[in-house]
This record gives sequence, structure tokens and C-alpha cells, in this order.
Amino acid sequence: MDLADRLKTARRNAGLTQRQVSEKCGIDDSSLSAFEKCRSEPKLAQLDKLAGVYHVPLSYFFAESTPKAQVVMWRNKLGETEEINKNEIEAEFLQLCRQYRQLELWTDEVCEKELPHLDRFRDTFEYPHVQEMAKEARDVMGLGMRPGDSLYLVLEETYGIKIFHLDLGPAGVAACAVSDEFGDGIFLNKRCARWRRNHDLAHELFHLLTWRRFKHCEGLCQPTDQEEKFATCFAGNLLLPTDVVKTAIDKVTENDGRISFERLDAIAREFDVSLESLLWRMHFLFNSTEATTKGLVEKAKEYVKSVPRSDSPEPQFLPDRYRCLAIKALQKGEISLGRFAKFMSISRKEAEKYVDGKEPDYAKVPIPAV
Amino acid sequence: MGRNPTMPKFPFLLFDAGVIIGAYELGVWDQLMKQCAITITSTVKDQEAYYWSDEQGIGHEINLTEDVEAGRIKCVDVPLSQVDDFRKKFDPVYLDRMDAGEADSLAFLFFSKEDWLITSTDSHVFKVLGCLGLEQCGLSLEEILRNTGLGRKVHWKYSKAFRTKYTSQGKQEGVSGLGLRNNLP
Repeated sequence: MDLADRLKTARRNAGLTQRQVSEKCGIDDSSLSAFEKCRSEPKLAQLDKLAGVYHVPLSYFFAESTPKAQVVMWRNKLGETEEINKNEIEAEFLQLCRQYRQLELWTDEVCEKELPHLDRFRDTFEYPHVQEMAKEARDVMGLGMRPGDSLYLVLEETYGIKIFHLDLGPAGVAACAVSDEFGDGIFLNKRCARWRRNHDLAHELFHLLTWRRFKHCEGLCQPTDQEEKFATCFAGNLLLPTDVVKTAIDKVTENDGRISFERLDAIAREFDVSLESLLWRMHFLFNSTEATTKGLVEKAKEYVKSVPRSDSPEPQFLPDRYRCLAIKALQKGEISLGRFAKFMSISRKEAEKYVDGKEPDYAKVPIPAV
Repeated sequence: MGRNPTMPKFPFLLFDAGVIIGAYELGVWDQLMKQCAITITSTVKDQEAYYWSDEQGIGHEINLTEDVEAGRIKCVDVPLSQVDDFRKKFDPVYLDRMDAGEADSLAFLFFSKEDWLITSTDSHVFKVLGCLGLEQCGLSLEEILRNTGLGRKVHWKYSKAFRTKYTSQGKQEGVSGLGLRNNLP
């Protein structure tokens, strides 16, 4: 693939027209057309601008081999008519994951620990298997009995999963990818509340754990309805462990066998899930009818409007681990200042603050022998 | 005390964006243009050095195009093929660690027949020079200021110690075979 083809492919992958690219980077569309038809060659500065707009590394345009297409599996994939350009979001997500991987490599901090291989069920795969997987995941991954508190950190820090919070608009979507190039990645909608994101994270974890089973490694981009139901079941089971939830519910059940929304919401808060998630979990724990649960969920929606929870501030766009790796790479001279600024989505001036002052002190803390 | 402009202190001197911004912040840019034959690449001119901040944090425009048009500094266009040839000396992702301005400055320096010197505030530039065995081609802003009679106490990233530290690291990496892809001529 020559440079002209690569430019065309990168633009199309980002879902952009030449006019849109021109508006974003100031290179006029006749020049863009000439570049893509091999009638003229861009300068390096122009190529760098285009790499930024297309969310690809500069080396993409020079690579000898043709880059492999990467599957990104969306939950509730947005339609083509939505205002949000899903291709651009995908391209941005993949770029962030690749940058994260580069930082790991440059700082020699590649996370060796892989997600546990829990999908060992052979021919059939049903809800009891999903429940078993959730329980095992909680145990093996050390998530404790309130996994809502620990899931994000364990996935990021222990397993090196690349998790980003992107602005996906009002649509409650998330997505994930498994890649030979950068490992496992997830993105969540930063506009969602933390307890909703917890559920989405657990949901996406199921997809990562079963990526091969459902043949996404063979290029299948869309999950089946059944797979989505399994993922939702997994998320509920992971975040709301059966015995602990049952005990919590037993404690607050009144003599007439009923519980107020107020008390249920307190349990939901304890597990850092939504009241709706807890009601659906109870639906399966106590075998209620679907109509009853749906009715309760509607009432719960009204309840949470009148007693809203205070959400923590909007999550950071870049994960803490990513930021730490980037700073380390900069201070050790593994990455240039301008590139660091781009990786951190900050200005060059802001980036300079990280190398201001004297040489960084990398003193090591002695641990006495016991 | 200025030098005769026909006899520049450094006849082949490449500046990267960080040094230009630094020179503005130190208030020495005009003197440096008079005393040195400064060259920049078009990427640095068009994309990377466009404002500097004073002590109050107020931003001021840098207009390198004006300096080029007035003949106070030179600007070179580096062909993409030369950047590509330079890139091929390294691991495939090496280019991703650099700014575009650094990549074309280094490519220009590497393939030039003249004895160019490059000055930078970026540790990575000095590492690349060390890695390529071109440690004699690096220069810190501190050394330039001293040689032009503008010497003053400078920030760590402008210092000779900064340059030598990272050049030496790059040299060690080059000796251990890290970074380089092919045997260099």
C-alpha cells in the first residue's frame, strides 16, 4: 500500500470526508485530493496533522506492512444517522490503546498478567455457566464481595486492561477490543454515572473473557442478542454476589415480606450499582415474574429522580496508569516533549511543567529483610 | 557585544521548537539571530514554534515566517523520502516517539554533507544522536549562549549536563543494539 492509499484508507476508517478533514486541520480539500491521488506529496508537517485527525501514528504512513483491521465490539452500536461519528470514536479509541501499549513498551512496564481463562465450558454454554464464570472471576481476580469498588482498578492496574472514558453523547454505550497489537481495551461513556459505568465495565469484561468463544477474533463485530444477555447476566452476578446480596436483603425485609425502595437503594449504593440493576438481580435470585420486575423498575426510575445520588466528578479521560507511564517515558527521555503533549492531550507549554525543575529523583525505598 | 553578521559563530546550526521558545523566554532570540546562522525546518516554522509565555504566563506570538522572509534565519524543506530513509535506521515505532519537527531536523542533519549542529530541549533528540554515534552534533542552549557572550544560568533542559546525560544514554543504547534497525554506514 503506497502513501496515497494509506491516506485514503485512514480517512475512510475515521469516517471523514475530505471536506471534514479540511475543516479539522486546515489543509484544503484540493490538496487532500491530490495527496490521495498521488499527484503531490504532503510535507511532513501536513502528514503529522493528518495523522492527528485520523487518529493514527505517524509511522502508519511509512510502515512496510499493511496494518491489520481491528475489531471493536460495541454495545448498542450507534446508528449511521446519529450525530456522533462512530468510526472516529473507534479510531480515537484504537489510537489511545496503541499509545498506551507504546508507553508500556518504552518504559518497560508491560503488564504480564493476563485475564484468567475462565471460559473452559466445551459444547454448551448456558446461564449457569455464566454465573459460575462470574463467581470464579470474582475469586480469581481478587475483586472481593463489593466488586463495584475494585473492578476498575483491578482491571487497569493488575491486568493492564486499557480503559478509557470517552464522550459518547447521551447514548449509553461502551465497547471493547482484543488485539494482538495492544492487548485488551475497553471504552466507557464518560457521561454515565459511576454505578452505570461499573455495570458496563463488568459487561465488557464478559466479552473480553469470551472473545474467542463468540468468534470475535475471526472478525465478527456485533454481539448476538444471546451473547448480550449472557454479558448482562455476568455483570449482575459479578457485581452482586448471590449470598451477600441475599443476606443484605434478608436483613431489611419487613415482616410483611416487603422492602422499601429507600432500603433497596441503600443496598444498591453499598454495591455501587444502580437500583435498576439490583432489581433485575433480585428478579433472578427470587424468580419473580418479568412483568412484576418491569413494573418495579419503572417505579424505581421515578424514585431515583426524587432521591438522586451524588455522582463523583466526571472520570478522567486518560487512565492514571497511562498518565504515569507517559510521565515516566518523558522524564527518562524515551519520548519527545511534543509527542508527550499529544499523548496526554495537553499543550506543549503544559507538558513542559513535567520536565521543569531539576533532574527527577528516582530514589528507591529500601525494604528491610524480615 | 554582537559579532560581525558575516562571520556567524555557528555556521550550520539547526534549532528545534523548544529552543526557539526558550530563547524567546530568555529574551535572547534577536541576539542569537544576529550572532549565529540559524536554520529551522519548515515543520518547526509552520507547526511547532508559534508562541511563548512570559513570567506572568501571558502568551506572545512567535512569527518565524517573518524572520525567514527577512533573511534573519534560514528554513529548509526536508523531503518525505529523506525522513523515510532516516526512519528506516530505527525500530519501526521510533518515529512515533519524536515530534515531526525533530524527525525532519534529525533526518536533514543525518543526510547532510555539512557538519551541522542541532540544539534542542528534548532529551529524545540527544538520545538519538548518541544512538547514531553523532554525539558531536548536539549542542545545548547553554553552550550556545556561553559561546556567543550571552551566558547565563539556565534551566536544566537547556543545560550542557542535560545534553550530555541523554547523549550518553543514547550511546549506550546504540552500543547494546537498542533502537537501531540496520547497521549504519
